[in-house]
Amino acid sequence: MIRMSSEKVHGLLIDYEWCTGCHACEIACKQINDLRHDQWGIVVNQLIQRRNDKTVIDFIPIPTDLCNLCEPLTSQGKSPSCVHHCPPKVIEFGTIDELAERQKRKPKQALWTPRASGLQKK
Amino acid sequence: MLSQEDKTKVVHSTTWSAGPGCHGGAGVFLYVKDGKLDKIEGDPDHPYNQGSLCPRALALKEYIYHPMRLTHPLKRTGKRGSNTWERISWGEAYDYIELRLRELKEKYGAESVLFVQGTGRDVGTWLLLLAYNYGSPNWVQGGLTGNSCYHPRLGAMKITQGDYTLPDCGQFLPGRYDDPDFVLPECILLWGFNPPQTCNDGLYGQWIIDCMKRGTKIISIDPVYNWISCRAEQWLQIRPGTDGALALGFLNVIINEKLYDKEFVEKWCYGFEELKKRAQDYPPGKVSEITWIPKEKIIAAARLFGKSRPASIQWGVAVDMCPEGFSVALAIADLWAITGNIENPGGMVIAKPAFECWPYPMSQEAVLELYGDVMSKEQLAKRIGVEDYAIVRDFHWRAHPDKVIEQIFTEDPYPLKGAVIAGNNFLVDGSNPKRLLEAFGKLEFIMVTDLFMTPTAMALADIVLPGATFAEKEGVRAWWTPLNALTKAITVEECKSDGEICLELAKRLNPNIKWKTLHEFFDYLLKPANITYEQLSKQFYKFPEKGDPSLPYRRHERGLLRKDGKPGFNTPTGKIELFSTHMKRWNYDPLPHFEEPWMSPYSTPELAKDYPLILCTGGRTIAFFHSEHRMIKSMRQIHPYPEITLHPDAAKARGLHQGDWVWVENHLGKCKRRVSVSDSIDPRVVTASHGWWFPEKSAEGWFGVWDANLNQLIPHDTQSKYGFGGAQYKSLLCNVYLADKGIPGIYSEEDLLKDD
Repeated sequence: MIRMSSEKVHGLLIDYEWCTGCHACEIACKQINDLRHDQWGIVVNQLIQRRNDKTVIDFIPIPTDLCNLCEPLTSQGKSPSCVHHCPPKVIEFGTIDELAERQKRKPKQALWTPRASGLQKK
Repeated sequence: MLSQEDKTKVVHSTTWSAGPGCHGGAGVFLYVKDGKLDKIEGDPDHPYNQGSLCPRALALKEYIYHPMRLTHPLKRTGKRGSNTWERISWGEAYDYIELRLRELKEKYGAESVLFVQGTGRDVGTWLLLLAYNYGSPNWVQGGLTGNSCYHPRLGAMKITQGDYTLPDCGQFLPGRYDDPDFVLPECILLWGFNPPQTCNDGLYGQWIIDCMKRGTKIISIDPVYNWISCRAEQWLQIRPGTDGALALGFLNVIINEKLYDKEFVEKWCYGFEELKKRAQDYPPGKVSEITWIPKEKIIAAARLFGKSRPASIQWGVAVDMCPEGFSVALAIADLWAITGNIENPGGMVIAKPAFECWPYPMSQEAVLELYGDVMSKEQLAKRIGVEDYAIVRDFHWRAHPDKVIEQIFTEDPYPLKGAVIAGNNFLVDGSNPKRLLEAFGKLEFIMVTDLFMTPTAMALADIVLPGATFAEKEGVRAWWTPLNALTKAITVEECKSDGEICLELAKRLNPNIKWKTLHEFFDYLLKPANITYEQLSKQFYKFPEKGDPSLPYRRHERGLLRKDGKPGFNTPTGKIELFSTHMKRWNYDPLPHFEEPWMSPYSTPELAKDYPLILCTGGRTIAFFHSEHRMIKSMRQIHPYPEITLHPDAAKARGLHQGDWVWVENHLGKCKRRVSVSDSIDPRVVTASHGWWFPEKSAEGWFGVWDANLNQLIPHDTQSKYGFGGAQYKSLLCNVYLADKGIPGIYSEEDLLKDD
């Protein structure tokens, strides 16, 4: 059960129809959070599926346990670094209520709520 | 400016050259704390990148402060290539270089010294300034057979259209896609170009994806099934090297089915009947046999392109690297011409640098404008290749790369004795690198400027100068719009920009030089924009006002393309020349044609018995710019190994599995690669990335320069008969077999997890 008001809960909405797999989000995250070479705050995964008519290649970034949703930036009204730098602009930041609303616009979107989202276990 | 929170200095600049390495011009903020770069951030308001950055730009800090970075001038003390260097001061370095260059000029003439650049970043401006003030017309892109990177396409556009074109993605409008004058292309044909992995020739790859998101349909011509092909309306899996036949096949369908723009052709094109006749030689059935693409797909793609209005074409280097690259470019340019997709919103627009400022000269006229007064006609006529190729003589502005190498050996008509090299690692990226080593090894003096010690610098240099990233330099970029300033954010050790180095040497070698400071030179370049560098660097970038002649559209109707002010294109006939009067004058085929690759299963069937696989090299990866970034661990993590991709059938037939190390071999040479198995390619084709060397290996062994170097399988001196295009970097023959071990001493994936 969720105790916190969802207005204060933030997440990342990913449009994985248009993620090109360029890894800019990973490096943007490493830079802003000063991560080591063995640490990632977000990881791009490749999905290859063979439909009957064609093979579909998708990429999907997933925030890791190190994702802090760039709190130092968002508290100043700026976007998280991955959102800011993503070339095809497929990552959106917001409250999960806003993002869930935007998720209805089109298919192939994922809403992530990392550890830092504000959601708490009872 | 100072940011309020932490007193960090924030410098607004433009990415061009070392750092990301590419031709791009993204607007960025550089945050500097205590004189050191703290972070790089994309400028959300800059029309080029709209806030985004690629991973190489975002890894800027890792690049700038890398422990392997060259940080002070070095002079060789032992034998060439023996890794024996002494640290010297800049004053000593300049004195020594001046002395050696003056000696060579007195003994052999200034033309005996080559000024060698790699691909076109800002370094071209500076090597040109130094070369011409010294007195040598031999400015060259070293090791690039047939100038087979954009220059065949540039030449084909220049002679048939009068100017250069590229797809309109709203980049000439400050409001981009939302600008009321912009029309979304209905279709973009991607010809050997993979936009998520690369930005070529003044086009940010992301713009194509922006258009796709808004509804543009894609035709992808690529031997590889990839992210783009998967989202394309039509994917044509071409046999590498047969692009010319496919373009002519498209022309056949579009002309015979009357899908072309009749009115535009009648009014603005010259030689349509001749082209129509030529296209009859390439019916879709025949083209299908040549290209291995099913006939129905060729027809469907031609129809999609022919019926779409507006439509555009973005092409890659694969076009130039066809055996008759120049002619392939002619054929592809005809596709947008006869469909009226030129100077129309959402079509192909003529690209001019903002305000027609030419910081990077791309024509003989632009070179003469800058240096016509310091270089005599007799000296200019010594440019290598002028005697051999009409296109070098009448159109191009550099020396011819293959002829340069030949002349080092023959010394005919004059000896070559020195080289000033900057930003070119040709032992890794040039064709037939061992021949290049032998050739340059004969020279008496070689200076190299680079940011890291490369195999080329290690093997050949007598003196090595530490270059600067874009964050450490001032500059001007106008390729194409807007006009951008590069502003200096930081200084790293004793590193200097190519501008500082070349201007200092040029001043010493020509005391009468017109410009004494970088700012004087920038101000001269910026005159057409009516702005000084000081002003531009405060404003960071300047967009021409709507109506400025450096911006589209329909300038041929408004008399804005020709010197005489008449309507029309800047060609001898004033029309787009489908039948090229220049080519006719030069006794070349005035129409596009196809040539079977000179090394292929069809033209060399005996060779194909031993080497049955078609080797397509140079597919781009976003992690690296050519041979750069191999020491940047976060980039190596994206692309850890020098791979070769085989179809599962080809792998199975050879008993190979994912991750095996193999020899890739033909009659010219061999190297090692790591197997990647994928059904994204044809079983008869293998693909492999280029530019591999291993900075983590020993300097004395030249960083493993031969270990994974596919260019050893690529011959030199195989330019097309026009001198432009050729080399078949993308369509050679090879075979692949299991190696007993991998390459010792290179980073494992575990090594890449450790901080430097």
